[in-house]
Amino acid sequence: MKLDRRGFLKFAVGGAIGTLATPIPWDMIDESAKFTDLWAPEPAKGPSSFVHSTCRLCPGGCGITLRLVEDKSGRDEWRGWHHKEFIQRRRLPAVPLRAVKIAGNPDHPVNHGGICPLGAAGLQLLYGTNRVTTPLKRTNPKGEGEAAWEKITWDEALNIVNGKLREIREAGNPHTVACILDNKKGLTAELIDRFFRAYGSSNVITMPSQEDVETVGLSLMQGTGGRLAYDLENSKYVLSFGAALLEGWGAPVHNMMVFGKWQEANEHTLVQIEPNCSITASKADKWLAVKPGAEAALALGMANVIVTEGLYDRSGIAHCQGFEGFKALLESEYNPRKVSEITGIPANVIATTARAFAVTKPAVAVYGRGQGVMSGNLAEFMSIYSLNALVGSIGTKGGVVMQREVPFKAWPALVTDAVALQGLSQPRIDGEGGEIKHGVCMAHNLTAALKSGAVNALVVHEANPCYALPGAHKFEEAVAKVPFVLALTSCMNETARSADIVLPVASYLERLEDVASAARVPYASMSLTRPVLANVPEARHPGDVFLTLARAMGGSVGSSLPWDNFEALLKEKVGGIFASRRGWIGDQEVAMLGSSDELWEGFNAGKCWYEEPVFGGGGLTFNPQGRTPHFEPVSWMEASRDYPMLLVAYENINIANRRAVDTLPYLTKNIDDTVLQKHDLLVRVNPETAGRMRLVEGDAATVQCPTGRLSVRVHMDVGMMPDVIGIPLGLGHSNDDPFLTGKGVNAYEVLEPVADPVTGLAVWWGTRAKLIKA
Amino acid sequence: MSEHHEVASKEKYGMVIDLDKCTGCGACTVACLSENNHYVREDESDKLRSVAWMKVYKVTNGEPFPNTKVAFIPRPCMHCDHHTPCVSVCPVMATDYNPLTGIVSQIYTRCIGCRYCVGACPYHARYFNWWDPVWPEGMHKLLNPDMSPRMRGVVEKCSFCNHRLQKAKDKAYVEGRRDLRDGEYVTACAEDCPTKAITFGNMKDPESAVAKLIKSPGAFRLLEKLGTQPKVYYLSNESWIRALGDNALGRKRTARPA
Amino acid sequence: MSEEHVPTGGREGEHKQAGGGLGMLAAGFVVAIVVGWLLYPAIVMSSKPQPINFNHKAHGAEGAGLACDGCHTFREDGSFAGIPKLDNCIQCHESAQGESPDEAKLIEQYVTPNKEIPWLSYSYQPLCVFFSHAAHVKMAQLECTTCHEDMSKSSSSPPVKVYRISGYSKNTMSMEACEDCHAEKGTSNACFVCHK
Repeated sequence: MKLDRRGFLKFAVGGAIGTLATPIPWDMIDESAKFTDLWAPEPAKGPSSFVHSTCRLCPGGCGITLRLVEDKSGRDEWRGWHHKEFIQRRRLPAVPLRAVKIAGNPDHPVNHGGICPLGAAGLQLLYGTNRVTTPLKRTNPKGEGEAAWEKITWDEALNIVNGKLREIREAGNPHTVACILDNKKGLTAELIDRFFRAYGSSNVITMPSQEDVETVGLSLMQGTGGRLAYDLENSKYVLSFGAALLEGWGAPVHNMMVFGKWQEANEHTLVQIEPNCSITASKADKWLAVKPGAEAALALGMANVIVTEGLYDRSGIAHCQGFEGFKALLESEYNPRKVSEITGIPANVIATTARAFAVTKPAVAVYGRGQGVMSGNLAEFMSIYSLNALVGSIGTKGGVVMQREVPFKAWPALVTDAVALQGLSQPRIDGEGGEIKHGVCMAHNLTAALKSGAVNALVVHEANPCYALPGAHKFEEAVAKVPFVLALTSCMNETARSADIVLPVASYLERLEDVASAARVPYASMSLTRPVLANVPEARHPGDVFLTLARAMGGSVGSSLPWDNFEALLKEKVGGIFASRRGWIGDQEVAMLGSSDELWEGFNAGKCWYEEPVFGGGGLTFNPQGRTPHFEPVSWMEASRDYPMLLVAYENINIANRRAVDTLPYLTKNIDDTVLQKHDLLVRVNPETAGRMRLVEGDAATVQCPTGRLSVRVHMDVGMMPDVIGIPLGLGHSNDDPFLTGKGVNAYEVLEPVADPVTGLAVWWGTRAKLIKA
Repeated sequence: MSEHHEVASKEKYGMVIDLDKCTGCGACTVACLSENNHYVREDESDKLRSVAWMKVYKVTNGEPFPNTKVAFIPRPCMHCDHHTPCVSVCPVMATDYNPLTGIVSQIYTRCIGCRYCVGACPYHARYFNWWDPVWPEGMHKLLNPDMSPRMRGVVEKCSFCNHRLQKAKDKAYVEGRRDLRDGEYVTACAEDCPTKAITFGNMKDPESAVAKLIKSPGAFRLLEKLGTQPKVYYLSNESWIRALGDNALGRKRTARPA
Repeated sequence: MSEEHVPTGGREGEHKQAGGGLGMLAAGFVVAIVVGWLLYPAIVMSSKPQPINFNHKAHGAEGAGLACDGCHTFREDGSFAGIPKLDNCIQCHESAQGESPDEAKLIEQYVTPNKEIPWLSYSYQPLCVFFSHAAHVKMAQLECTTCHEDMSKSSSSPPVKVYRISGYSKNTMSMEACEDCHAEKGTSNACFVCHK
């Protein structure tokens, strides 16, 4: 039978009818629908569990709860199709245990279940693309173009480091080794500090922080160091001198929780004193737009009102020294009318605020600028802190509190040998203060020290000075001159890129570590970060790295650090908390526990140890060493013809700044398009000021400073003080992170620290500037 | 769509956001992104196309320096109770009002990407997926198995974390209960808010925190004049913020999404 | 042209119609049926054997006396554990209980090296679906066999038929089946009852 056209068509029609009677069409519709469903990857299912730990991404120390998903299916892949290569089934490696969410831990005393955006995004650090996964060795000379890396083993890396440190020590130069840490809080930092002291170097230097000037100020005025904290929760009148209480200052979530309670109770007053309309200023009951840098003058103006009107705490002042001299200075120099001229705040506002502050009990004056990284001079701190003494708020409920130390078991005596003693007797490379001597680090002096060739080896542990020191680019140039640079970091950052050896350290979700006492919180507390899972198996605990190095070095270093691993050290240290019988772990009193092991178990179940705040100790000296609180302008505050404007740095809670972590991808969704647009950073300028320069919203411009220039765009912000440019800190990275690199400019590059003549500490929060239309 | 009000149900979920407590930190946004399997593009500065179900809008009172004030309005899906605009226009019933819970659903696999709903929504709560979802190598590990990621070409929006309701119900069922207790089902944003500005719960339960809060004197809803009866309420004692809630055009101040 | 053509064409057409016309139609129909019912499944579906030939009969009422929920349990959070994990098997099969080669395989390949058995699911639902076992089993008191095959009579695990394109099983329940039952029982068919 010949198949002609008609026959074929009939066959086809028959086939079509037949097909309808088969599963083919219905199946195919179904299949195509399910196929498109798989264009997105399908998360593997499994039982969920919840684990408590502690966040270490900022000094806040919040309790967190991680949700873990277990996948025991034994399947070797996730389902889903690769969106780009349709034919290639997307193969995602099976993960036996993964973390899918970080939430606040409702049982933690610091944050009561709340969490900040950075903390909530923490898993993007754990699973980040920018993790260092193996030890790396640089294969091209520093300072010559992009770094080239070779992957090496831990043994090789530690051998190199050990060899270098040995070589320097054997040459009798242990003091030419320096180490940079973000801060000296926590046992890991203390262990590193101990390592270098036993080695023979006192050059363990921390990044600049507001706490530096506080430490010096407190030791002068009160004779003690101690960590300055505030009982904000119980304070009825809070006078904040620029502290970004709701934007990341101190323990951010704790403060926000307290703010939420304030709003409910409706009996607390917050007065925010800062030049520009910040979120804290907007949320405050009153915002006093003080001229930048004139905060101290305003504080003294208020002190004048309190003193001249006799509103001060007479019984408290009886325990203070130097009040008469302070009073005399206030009366002669800081009457409200004069202060009004300096600060731009009307005299009657100064007076009414001062009166309200003095009569509302308890009241507290908070010293601060932004999140607590930038700082002013000693005179400023003393001026503001004096207000607390005047109203009797030092060591009282609702006032200023000295945070107690966590009663860890003390370190055994340091073992030193002749080389170590010789090294420790050398002056520290960052200098030791100005007119008065103090032990606080002055990292801003490091650039000069590195350039002078005084440093043979530099160890940087979880800090990023090449990005976040004021004048960062100059520091980066100086680092290139150091013969040997070692960086310990969990993510590749600017400093690691300038190193010779990079060691991958475990992130806070992968290691056991103490997180003691949230910053500025009135009570001592301690909970642990716990090794929940190991996403980077090669990454090691930095404490273990230094303990291993100590064993390898032997001698005084080995004897000073005899612990097998960090856990053993931590466990021993926790024994001190048990022995102190102080405080509570979770809802159990430590004094009621039977053994230190019980306490240890509690910590390892994610519980937090804390104790009630201890009040008392109100007296201070107003004029230590003859230095009475006064207003001392910083050099760049004065307008000049070449630079008519003032550039002031500000911080944004969604732009991680100098902390253990850079801005995480989720946070980029929270960054306003008035701050960042594609690759351009926008500076905030008052529309009137911008108009004078014929600038409109979004215009490209150049910020010209004495120290350099930045290409930016302009955002017109009515909340900005005229003639002030606001620039966010934390942008302008060049760290290979696709979500961050090349976005905006790094304000640290133009901020030039000025040494406080008294302390030598860096005063830095701004610089003179000129805005030029590009 | 008015028939859905006739169904007898003991549940109707709603949210109250205290704007006087909100500091605009964006923890709610990140909690939502993480809970609901959002991916992040290398550049998220084009806010018209940046997807965030819980978006925090910055508004200002428009006063010149130094009387300027800013405030923040977190904006999830309003889960409109009446004439739900998106549901009215969806040609394929990919979005629907659930009369049992009051939650407006969005079924990504059913959506044809026509974006009528995006246009219809007065709150800009709906987002279109212009791009394939991409997670960088390794980042897929943080995907939540309770939530389906969305594919390119569909519209998505806040679901009041409906999957958390499903899970809470499951837990109640195995414990032999049919009803949930207040606080057993909360959204990720409400759970994580550091100032506790967000309260979530069953508005039909007179003992629930939300039921009490929506009776506060400072309570209002966005664009109430449209009559969509959103189930997201806001609280503020500031009159300028309340005025913005109804997009007070013609008055002195206007909201400026920042 | 049409005048010339039509008659001849018509004649030829009539002739063929009378002869092979319906035949071709029928042939096409038959071919389609054969292809659709016999060839098509073999083309679009692959048949994957279970890692172990599990004998439900030997474990159930007629054997060890276990009920379905003896192994297919709920977790505390209300989710359904589904296919049991190895831990569950080990409770009885730490060492061999009998002489079946499948049990020997279980012990040798999975129990001894403590390796999870990569079972294949017959009823794996697409990722946009939330199926609540708690709602159906605990609240509505449905029998497992209402939706699943009665495995208590089966002494072997048949291979899983998996669609090559989507990767879903042939036994995956369709939305239609869910909807029909919900409609019949008066349960809500709102989207967010079953979708996520």
